[in-house]
Amino acid sequence: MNLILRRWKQTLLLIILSAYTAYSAGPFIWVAMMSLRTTPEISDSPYAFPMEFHWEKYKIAWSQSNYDIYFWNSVMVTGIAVLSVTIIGSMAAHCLARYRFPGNRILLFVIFSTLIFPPQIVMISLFQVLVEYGLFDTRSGLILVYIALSLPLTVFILEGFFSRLPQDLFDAAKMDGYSDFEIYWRLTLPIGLPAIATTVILNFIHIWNEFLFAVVLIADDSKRTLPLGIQKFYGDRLEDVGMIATGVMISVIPVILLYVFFSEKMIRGMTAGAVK
Amino acid sequence: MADVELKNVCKRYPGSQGLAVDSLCLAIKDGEFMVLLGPSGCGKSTALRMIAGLESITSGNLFIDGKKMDEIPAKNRDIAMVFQSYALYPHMSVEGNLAFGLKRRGVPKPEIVRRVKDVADMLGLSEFLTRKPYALSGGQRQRVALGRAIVRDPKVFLFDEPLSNLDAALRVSTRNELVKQHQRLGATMIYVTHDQVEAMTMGERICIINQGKLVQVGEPLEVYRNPADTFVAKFLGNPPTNLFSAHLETSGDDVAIKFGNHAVSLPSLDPLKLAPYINRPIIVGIRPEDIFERQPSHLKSPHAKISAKVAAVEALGAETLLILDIDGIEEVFRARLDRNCIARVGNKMPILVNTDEIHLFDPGSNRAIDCYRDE
Repeated sequence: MNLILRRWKQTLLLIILSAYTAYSAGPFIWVAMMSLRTTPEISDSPYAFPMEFHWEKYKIAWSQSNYDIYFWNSVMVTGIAVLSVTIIGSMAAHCLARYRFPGNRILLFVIFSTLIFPPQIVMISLFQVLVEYGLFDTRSGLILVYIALSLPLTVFILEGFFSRLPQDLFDAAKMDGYSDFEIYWRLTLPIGLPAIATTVILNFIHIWNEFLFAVVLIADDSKRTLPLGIQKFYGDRLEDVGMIATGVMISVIPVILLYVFFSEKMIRGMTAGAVK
Repeated sequence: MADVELKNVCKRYPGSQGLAVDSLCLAIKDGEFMVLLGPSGCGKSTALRMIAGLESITSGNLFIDGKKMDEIPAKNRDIAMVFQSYALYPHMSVEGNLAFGLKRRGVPKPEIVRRVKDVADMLGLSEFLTRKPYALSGGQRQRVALGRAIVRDPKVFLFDEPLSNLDAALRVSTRNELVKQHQRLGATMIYVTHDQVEAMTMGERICIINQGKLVQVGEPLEVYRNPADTFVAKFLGNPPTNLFSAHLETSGDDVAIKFGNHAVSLPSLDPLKLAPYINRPIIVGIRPEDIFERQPSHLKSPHAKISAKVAAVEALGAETLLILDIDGIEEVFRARLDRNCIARVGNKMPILVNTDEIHLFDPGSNRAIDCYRDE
């Protein structure tokens, strides 16, 4: 009886999970299929399976539509911004979580409270600042903006994780002769890896896909990032849906690869403290 | 190895009114096993952390081997500490944990390997060297924490309630292991606990702390037999000392305590020493084990007979604990009797009190009164 019940439960679970997978993976597969079809083929039958795989579309997008430039711009901007946010954010979170100093909580509150501002509010002032400092239409200016915008959430997530690490660990390292920086480097970072992986993924996805600041702060075509590149296929009268799909696939693959490598650590980071 | 001396050491936490540690003066001899004992929040761990250099000293001085250490950072004090939570680095193997402190101190690699191996052999950790802490049992983790301290060969070992996370059986065996290690290493060890059994069985001397203040220092049995005040009398011993108010009077050449309709003559006490307390209230302390059903054949000291009524019986197998109602005593009065005791709740029974082991305390200061006749 128990065996039959268990089989039923397993079957039900399988059906639910399959339905959910189809629901979440469906749009991705659809775009993947469209990326291998031409726009006329898509117009004829939007949901059809590719009759012929147009792999050359990737080549065209990559070389003729400047996707190689956009891609490397995105890699550079996102890579440097995420690396900087991770280093600065984890150091700040370590200090806020570990050291008692006057105004500790107020500082954390101030950092976190900047999250409430919608991007449109800071846009004009940021634009003005970047123009004044000669950073408008530069990749370094865009990187600085991304760092500033990603730091509050990063510090908040990491501070929450780091503050749950037992103080005894850090005292033990002090007794073992390690300096404050060595303790951060050799204890906080490796132990906090699940939380750090979480912030890396969140920041990577956010910055990689970011459009609003990039479209306002970058004018030169050679400095554009991938989301701006995809926009190029939106014409005034015609939308090249096939090439948009190809562009989307090019931009989405790094995110998927990153998620595959870090997802386990991210889940551990998100559920840290939930179970003993 | 080193001696440690605290001179008028105080600790005040920011924003706190009172002192967490109040004028602590304590000298710990080279190679001694000193236990700091007290209830939770009494300041014993704070004192230990100040010795370690993990907390700053608000005022007073700390000397290690005669050298002033107040401003010396923890890493330069050559002290190792075992924490209550063990504080093992979760991302490192047992070997990594043991070697972590040595690496920082620039010990050559072959020397690190040798010392780690020696300590692992000594503590029975050789087969776990590649394991991470999460894959170890509580007892094994405790041994790794101890090994991490031993491997550094420090001047002083500090222990902050290291056995409190272990189950009862493991606690006993680890207690013996620690004592054995102390004998083997001959190092100065300072051990913080709130468990009086640990203190009594492990410490060469114990230092009792209450509300940040040192109350009494001495050898365990000395402190047990001669508590300095009512706090020590109550804190040390399980069940605790029975404390109750009585009236001190003269009875011929002797003194007697009077409570309810009882008058107990105390011939061993010196009326001259007690002169300031005659005809005044006083606090009397009687340990539960100094109460008997009948005169024990091996004890020749005088016993006073008091009538009591049994309020509760706790038969523990090896012994029987009675809670007694005694006329004139409002406080709970416990007696630890022989396992063959057949008293039942409601029984009226006479009990015998060993009058050579009665303690008297000043009701104003709660300090013990030196009241026995000089030998």
